[in-house]
Amino acid sequence: MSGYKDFLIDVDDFAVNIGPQHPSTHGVLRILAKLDGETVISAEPIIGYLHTGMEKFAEFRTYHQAETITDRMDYVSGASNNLGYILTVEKLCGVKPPKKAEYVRVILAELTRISSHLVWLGTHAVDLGALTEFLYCFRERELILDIIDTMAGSRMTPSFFRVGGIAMDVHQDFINKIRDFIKIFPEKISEYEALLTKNKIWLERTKNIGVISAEDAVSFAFTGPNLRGSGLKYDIRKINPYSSYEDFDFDIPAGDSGDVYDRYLVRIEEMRQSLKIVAQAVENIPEGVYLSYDEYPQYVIPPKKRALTTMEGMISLFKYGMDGIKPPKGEAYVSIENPRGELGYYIVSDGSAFPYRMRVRSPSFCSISAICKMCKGYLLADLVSIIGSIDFLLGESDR
Amino acid sequence: MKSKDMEPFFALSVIKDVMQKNIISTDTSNDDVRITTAKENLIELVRFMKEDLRLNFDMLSDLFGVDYPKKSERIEIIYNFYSTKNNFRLFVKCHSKIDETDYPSLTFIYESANWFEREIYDMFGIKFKDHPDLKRILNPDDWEGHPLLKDYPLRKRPPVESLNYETPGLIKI
Repeated sequence: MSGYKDFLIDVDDFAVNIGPQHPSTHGVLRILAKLDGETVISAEPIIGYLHTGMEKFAEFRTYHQAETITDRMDYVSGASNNLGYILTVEKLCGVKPPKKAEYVRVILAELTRISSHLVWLGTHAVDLGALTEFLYCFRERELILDIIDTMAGSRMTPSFFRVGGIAMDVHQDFINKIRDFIKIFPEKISEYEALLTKNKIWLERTKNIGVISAEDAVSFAFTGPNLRGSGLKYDIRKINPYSSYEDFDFDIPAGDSGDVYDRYLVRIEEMRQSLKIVAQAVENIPEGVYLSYDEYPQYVIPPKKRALTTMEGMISLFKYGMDGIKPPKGEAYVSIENPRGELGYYIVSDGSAFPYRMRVRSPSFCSISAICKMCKGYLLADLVSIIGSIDFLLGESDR
Repeated sequence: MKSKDMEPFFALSVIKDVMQKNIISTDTSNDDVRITTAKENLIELVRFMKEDLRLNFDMLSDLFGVDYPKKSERIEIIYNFYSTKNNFRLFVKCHSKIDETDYPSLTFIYESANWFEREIYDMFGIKFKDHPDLKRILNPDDWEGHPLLKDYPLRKRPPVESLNYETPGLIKI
């Protein structure tokens, strides 16, 4: 018979395995934490449970088939991922899209940024015990997904962009829905903040937790809101504008101490700024074509109407489907500001219809690698708040 | 060409002035700057790029490999350096064989190199010298082969008998 002493555990170097199937690890992250009492001595993140070999898979797909892979990597901000990929292929081919397409791309990318931040805010808050926040956030996210559905025909994986433009012209229903959304959303953000920003429990759980200095953050290759939370104003939309971001007026929020609370404030403010960009873009969508087919007929798909009514349009659509596009031999890198940070694509082309190598520089991969550094010395309960605050997505980090 | 596109070329000229002996070739197509160097000179070049005040490449933004099976040193490793102070981006390329024994690790210069080098080991099989914790990162520990090599087929499965059902993914503490 076993006695009481057999159930005692040696408390020195006590290891706790969190995940991979744990609701507060936001996917299938596994953390091997070593504890001294309740204090975390070390936490080793283990990833790879969602590895699907997308970089390998893209090498066996044509350039437009590979686009549909990209939005399945970061499945809560699909349009942003498509944008980075399409910009890289455009850089390889030397194609410039029309201004109208660039504006629509910006609208979709910023709407996805808001919806991604809403998912982050809801899940982060529910981790720390605020269930109402989750319901509020998913209420407004539904509106955004509906807007994306109106334009692209699917909610989370749009694959709506084409090399040299977008798949379809803008229609009035899309514009009206965005205008309605812009009217109601600012007060909703205040509603979220009313629940959390000055809440005593929230402050206790987030202030001075998971502090990372700007130097460490740079060394770990942090980007996006995580780096800005540490006080460095690094935003690719400002320092290296792509897709007409230089036309819009917006600010970059930044924190100063680099704790969980600062990262929370930065993302809340980013939603306001994104809404500002959407409002400017939707009122100023330029007139004109949405695909630059006339300038670059060998790389750009013909608009649907021309493909169905003219002979040469039909032939080029057919060739486009059968042969794909063949960018010239070379290498190109483009990075964009994803909701999670700097998303970069490095594509090596060997002149054939398939990418020779597609490398995805995913922001979550770098953020997760720093969990060990950020958790050291905090309580096990704070681990949940820290991994919530860096807003990673395993689909993107494992690829 | 706009002024913001000129900045990496300034960085290239600084590196060319001081480190000419370590540079094998340069490539500036598609508005990116790429420097090819030999693996013996890599550490010296990277140290200079990080510590020189005109350059200050403080972030190793990305690190990945490309496989060219026909070349003798078949893996091309590409480092993506970024300077947050000056807004330069610069690529450094370095070639290696798969079974190279003394390929240098950058883990003691950049923290982010740790996981990136583990990923290259996982995907291409290069063993970095002096890496503190070199093990597979995306694939399971008992995986065979290195998936991103060009001679690794797209659809490949281990035979069912060799799958480890007893203790899948168990890590000894």
